[in-house]
Amino acid sequence: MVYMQIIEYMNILVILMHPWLLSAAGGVLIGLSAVLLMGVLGRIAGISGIASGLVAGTGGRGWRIAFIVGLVAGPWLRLWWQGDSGIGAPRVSWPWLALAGLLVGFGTRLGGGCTSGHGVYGIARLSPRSLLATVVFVLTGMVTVLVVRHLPGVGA
Amino acid sequence: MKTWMALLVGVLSSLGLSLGGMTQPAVVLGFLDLAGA
Repeated sequence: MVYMQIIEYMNILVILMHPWLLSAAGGVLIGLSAVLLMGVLGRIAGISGIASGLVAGTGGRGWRIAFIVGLVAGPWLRLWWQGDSGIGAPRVSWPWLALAGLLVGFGTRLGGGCTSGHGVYGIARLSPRSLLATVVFVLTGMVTVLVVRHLPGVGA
Repeated sequence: MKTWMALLVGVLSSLGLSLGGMTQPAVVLGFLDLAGA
C-alpha cells in the first residue's frame, strides 16, 4: 500500500512539474546513468557503440544485453507508472524510418558515436572530439530541417 | 552485479531521455527548427 502511495505521489509530482524542471530531471537521470556506467563498468554509455559492440561481438555481451533491455524497459515502466511511455509516434512511413535508421547507423560508425555518446556523455566528459561532433551534427540537423520544412517544394 | 548495474543504467538512460522530451519527434524537430514551425 505504501509502495502504491509513493508511486501516486511521484506521478502527481511529475504532472505538476514545469516542462523545464522535467527536462532538468531527465538530464540528472542521464548524467547519473553515465556516472554509474563509468564508475561500475568503466564504460562510456554511447547507445550506438554499446549496440554495435553486441553485433560485432566486441566482448562484454552480458552487460551490453542488459543495458539494451533496460533501455527498452524504461518507457514500459513509464507507461505502467504514468500511462504514457513518453515516446512520440513516428511522423513518416516505415520505409522512410528504415532508410533513416540505416543512415543514422552509417553516420554514427563514421563519426565514432551518436547523439548519446558524443552529445550527452562525451560533452559531460568535456571531450573536444565529442564537442566538435555534436556541433557538426546539430548544425547539419538544423540545415536539414530548414530545407525539408521551409524550402518550397522540398518537404511536407 | 555488473549486469544488474547495466540494466539499471539502461532504465535510467531511457527514463531520462523520455522525461527530457528527447523521445518526442516534435520536441527534437522544434529544437532544430530555427525558422519556426
